[in-house]
Amino acid sequence: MSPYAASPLVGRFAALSRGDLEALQWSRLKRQLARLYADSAYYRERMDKAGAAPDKITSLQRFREVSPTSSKSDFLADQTAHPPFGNRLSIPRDQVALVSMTGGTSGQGQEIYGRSNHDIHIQGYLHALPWFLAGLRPGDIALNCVPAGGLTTGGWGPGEGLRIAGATAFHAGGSMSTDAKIDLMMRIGGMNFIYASTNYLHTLSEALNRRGIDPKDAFPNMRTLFIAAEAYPIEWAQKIENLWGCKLQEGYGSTQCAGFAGSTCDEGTITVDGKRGNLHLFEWENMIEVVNPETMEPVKSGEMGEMIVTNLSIQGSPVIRFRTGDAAVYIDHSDTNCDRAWNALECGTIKRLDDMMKIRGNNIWPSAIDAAVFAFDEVAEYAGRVFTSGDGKTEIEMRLALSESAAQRSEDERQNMLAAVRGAIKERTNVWMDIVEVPRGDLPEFSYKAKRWKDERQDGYKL
Amino acid sequence: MADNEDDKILRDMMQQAERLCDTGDALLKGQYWHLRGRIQALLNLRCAGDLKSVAE
Repeated sequence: MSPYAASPLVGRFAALSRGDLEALQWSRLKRQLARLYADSAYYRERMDKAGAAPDKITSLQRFREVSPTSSKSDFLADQTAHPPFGNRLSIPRDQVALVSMTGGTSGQGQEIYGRSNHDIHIQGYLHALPWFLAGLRPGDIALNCVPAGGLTTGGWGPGEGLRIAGATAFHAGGSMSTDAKIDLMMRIGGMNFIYASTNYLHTLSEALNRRGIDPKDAFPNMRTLFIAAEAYPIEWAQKIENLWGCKLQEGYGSTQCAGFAGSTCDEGTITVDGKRGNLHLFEWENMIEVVNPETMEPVKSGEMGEMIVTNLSIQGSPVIRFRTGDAAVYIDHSDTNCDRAWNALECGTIKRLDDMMKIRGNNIWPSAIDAAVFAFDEVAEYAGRVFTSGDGKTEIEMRLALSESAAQRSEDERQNMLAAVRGAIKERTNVWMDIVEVPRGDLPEFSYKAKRWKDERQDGYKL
Repeated sequence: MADNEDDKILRDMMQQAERLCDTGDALLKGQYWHLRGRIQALLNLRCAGDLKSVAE
């Protein structure tokens, strides 16, 4: 049964005209702006400074034209001035029931989000909704391959989402090896749903191949593979669907969106004519603008731009016109293959505007690695490569050259030095990297902006 | 049960949950806050699917 028939609520969302959907957004936005003007000194000051107090915002269009944007650095400055949550918290501190933090590897610091009990449910809902649309139903057996818990929305949202979806969930991410997960899946047998990062689904598929297990035979009840977080070639998506014999579905989400902002429909990640599918946006929960990052003008359908997010119902630490730094191809609802009036993003091509890399679930900026490596005077230069190994795992190789004097030291001293650098990188990024010493001449000279990293993971997505 | 009865039931539950939150039992207070938050979120996410409720 389609999700629209299975849920009258989802059916109503699907039946909204574009005009009704925007009326709904406008209704919720007015409520959110009025609340924040009253309860958040951070937003009140910014609104007043920009001449964008709630009484000046007379339409969605006006909101997009005059309301100020916020960025990570704005939030960090607010948190520093008013620790720990900043003045954007907008709920009483004693009503914060869950704390989320973004990855701290940008070198700038970590954004802190204080969520209310209401928000915990909405975070779960913004995971359960895309999974419901993708076929997950109460009573289904689900495997969550994303590490659970911790301080991230990605750690708590899936657990809450599967719980309120009514699924029987195995949260195996981060706590079991891939082989142990496969053993568990074989014992369970009737698994219906898997949630994983793009790269981890590849790792899992490779491992099954290696063990001679055909997923189609081993898991005949599998209905949905749901991925997030990383881009992929369309050919890979086709191979994954053929291998597993079920649909590959995708979602786009973030801490700032308090879960998923949108997801694929029945069509999945590939359209019937073999093109990339669409991530249909849940626009009544989050407003997503896609703009040219330099002019801030909305891009046209089919063009790539930066996503700007506004939360319409989140109470604690909501974002209003937050510049995500994530770039996506915007697809107007009239250009999708669906009847729904929800605008969309193109599947499989969302990327960072800056040089951030998502590695094993960690947001890693090269600047953070540079800071760790070049804290050692003995290091002259390095070059890094992220790639997918033959057995489907994400590997990181760093080729590092020592300074002329350090290169003269004994083998033991040099190995100790490399181990110290490796430890410093792990401390800053949460990721272990393999370091190989090479002569200085093997590495390039950077005369302008250093580009030390290559991400070759997609080249390795071969099944 | 008709889908359109859900909102009325949830609104009634919300009133009851607000009353529970007045408890003097410190162990239960956080649990009642949690219950109230859940009901509030359900009301919120349901009204998004019903323009009439939003306008009310």
